[in-house]
Amino acid sequence: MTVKDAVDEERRCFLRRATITAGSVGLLASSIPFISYWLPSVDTEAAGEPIQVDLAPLKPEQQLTVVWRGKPIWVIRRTQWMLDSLSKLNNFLRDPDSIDDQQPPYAKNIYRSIKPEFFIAVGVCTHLGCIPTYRPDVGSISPEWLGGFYCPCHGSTYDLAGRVYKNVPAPKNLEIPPYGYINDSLIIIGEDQAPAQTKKV
Amino acid sequence: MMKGMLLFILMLLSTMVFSQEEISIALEKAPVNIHDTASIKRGAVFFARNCEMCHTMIYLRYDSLAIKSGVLYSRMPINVKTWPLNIRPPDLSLEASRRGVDWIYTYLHSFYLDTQRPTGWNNLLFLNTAMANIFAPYQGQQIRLPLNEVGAKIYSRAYQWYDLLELQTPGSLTPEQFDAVITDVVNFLAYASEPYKIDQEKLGYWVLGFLIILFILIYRLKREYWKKLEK
Amino acid sequence: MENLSRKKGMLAWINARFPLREFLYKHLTHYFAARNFNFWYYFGSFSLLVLANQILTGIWLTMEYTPTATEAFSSIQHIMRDVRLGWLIRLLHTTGASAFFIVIYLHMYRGIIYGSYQYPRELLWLIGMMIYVVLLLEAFTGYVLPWGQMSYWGAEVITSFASAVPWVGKYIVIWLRGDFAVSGVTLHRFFSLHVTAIPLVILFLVFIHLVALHYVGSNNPDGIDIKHDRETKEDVPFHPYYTLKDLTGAVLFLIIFLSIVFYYPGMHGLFLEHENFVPADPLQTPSDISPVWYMTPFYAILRAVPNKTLGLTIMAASIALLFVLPWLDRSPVRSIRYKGIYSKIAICVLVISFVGLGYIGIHSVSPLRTFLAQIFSIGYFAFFLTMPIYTRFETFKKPPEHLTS
Repeated sequence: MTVKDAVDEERRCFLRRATITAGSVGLLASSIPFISYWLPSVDTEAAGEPIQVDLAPLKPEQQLTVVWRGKPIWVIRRTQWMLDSLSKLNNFLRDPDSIDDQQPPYAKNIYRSIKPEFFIAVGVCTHLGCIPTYRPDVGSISPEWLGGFYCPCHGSTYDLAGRVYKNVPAPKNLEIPPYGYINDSLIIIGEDQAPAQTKKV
Repeated sequence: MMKGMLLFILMLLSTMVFSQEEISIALEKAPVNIHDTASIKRGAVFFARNCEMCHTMIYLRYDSLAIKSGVLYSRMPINVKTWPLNIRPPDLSLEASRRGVDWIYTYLHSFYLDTQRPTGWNNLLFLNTAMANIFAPYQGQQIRLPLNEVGAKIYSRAYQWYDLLELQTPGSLTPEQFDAVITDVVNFLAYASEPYKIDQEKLGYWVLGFLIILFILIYRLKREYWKKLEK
Repeated sequence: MENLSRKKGMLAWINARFPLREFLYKHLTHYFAARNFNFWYYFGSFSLLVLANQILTGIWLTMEYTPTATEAFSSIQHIMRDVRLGWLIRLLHTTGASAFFIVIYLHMYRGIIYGSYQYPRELLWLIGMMIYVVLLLEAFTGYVLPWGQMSYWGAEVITSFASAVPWVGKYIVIWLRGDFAVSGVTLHRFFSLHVTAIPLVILFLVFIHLVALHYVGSNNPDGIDIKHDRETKEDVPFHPYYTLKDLTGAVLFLIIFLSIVFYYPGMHGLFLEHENFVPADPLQTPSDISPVWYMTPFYAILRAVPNKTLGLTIMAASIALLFVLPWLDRSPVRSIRYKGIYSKIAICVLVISFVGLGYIGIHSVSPLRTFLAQIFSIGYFAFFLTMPIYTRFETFKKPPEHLTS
């Protein structure tokens, strides 16, 4: 091989690498529109906007279900008796202190809500996604039952703060969505604070 | 030369009888600039206040610029069933792509008084239009000049709308102010047809810039390999 | 070194079960082609590139498009405005459709001037012509999908061609449409054809097109048969020479193509017709109906004939003649470089007529245009119908022994 051949080889090698690199960058970049196309479109995001819920019509123990981003959201008005029962159950629960990141910081308390009276949660079982039933009646699921939620698909149970029991298939407490109080009887679900304009339910 | 003049006068005389026939007029060039976002917003505000009661823009439903300027889907006459003269005002989301900005700009300038029309108005570009002249308060009232008054001055070029119309009663805006307002409106309509246009241009620079670099590299690589063949 | 031997191990595993190495050998590294391919030889690989673009962007468009009469138009605006970078995918698809025809026409032109349809490539040419006709159908069904005014009325006009069939024509039209006039039923079935059926046919035809090509080998600008041996060095292995050359050309092609996508996708009403920005209205025909530019040459021929049935027949003949080109050419030489003066004049007449017809087809009818369309139609047909005569009797040059560069 002459000197010129060696230089040629080197140049060819460099050019080949440079071109392949540039070409790969181009190919990767051209995949961007195909990936962004799959992101929720502007109208899909608009449909997922936060919703307002009026708490005034709720009677004690009543459960209201609304839909936000395609999922059922429960709004339950708890009685004082229900709230008092929560502290008795800590030994039976998998995560009584809500260590797992299933709730916003303001719901990281024994009531798992901003105000104890109203419980707002995503009504989807953390096991495999069924919608649990609301069973506030004492002694209905078992003799020691103090009220809570029972999932009919595989038997998972939760207390009236959505905390999951031990020895059931579900691994985590029910998820609490971001929400906030616009005023004493109006909440907005989907956002931490109340903004200027939203859809009313 | 004399024959030509005679022919011309005869043509003018014949058009005098049909003074409301459709004359083909040249389109005035609309001074739109889609990069002028402030103009687009002003146009949107004008549209929300003056046009939205009749014209829908259904494809701007989720457009943030439109929403911020007051062009709201909830206020558009989408479900209105009965319209004057039984003609539904067209949706304008794509009008600029359909007719072109020059057409719209000229159209919005070309309304004139016509007592024979149910609306009381007619338009040079769209003869017997069912659209009322909502611009009259701003532009003023124009009348159409009979052709014999117009012809002699400008037979060397095509008619422009301002050759054929004369401002009889002024409106709240001077002609220059009115031109600016209509430019804003047409800018907004152009934006409405293609809201992605600015992103499109910007992305284009990057893509083409990259491709030029890639071309230089790959061309040189090709030459490297093909050079060997000369031997 | 570990990675290299693992890679070699994987390749050996595959090669023991699949003819990968043989395929690469036979069709790339040891498929030989003449070394003097010029500008006209890019367009075959460009067609493949545009086909890939249409399929990829088409699949993505199908994810957000709704094929019903009430939703089609809105779903396209949804893609253009609400879907993130949806406008880019859609404009790649519409520009790609026009680019496909530009590239295919230039590819066909190469075949005509270099006699690539002559023995032993007649079947290759026939398959290519089938691809062209199927592509016209694909473009037609695709254009209906936005359900604008041109979509609707173009569908109305083209489906009514079938009414020219004697006796049963009327019923065929209803059968084609699935309804008494073009409607959502028609749209929905055209959607299925455009997205699934016809692309499968195209892919199959392109595959056998390449099989036929590789079986007989490529032609060259001199139209001579070359010897594939190391001595004469007239040919080069396709890889790396033509893979690199085609890729370089492809990058340049992309620069031009993407300039249009990003800065002029409407192409002044040619690629995105103005009237199609209006939703379909079955009760109002637009003042000027014309098909998209790539069909206008044939449309102009149709309009030039004052009789409906005769016009349709002549229009069909204008495409059919292309199929029999291999048998019309009686010249002993393939390439225009060595054919006589009459062939050269004939090709000029063909190009001028075809382009002229295309231009006329875009515009509205007028007596002058109809007259010119008739002249150009005669020119177009003359190219084919007189070919057996002028190719047989003209004085041609003897083609060289070896390739010229």
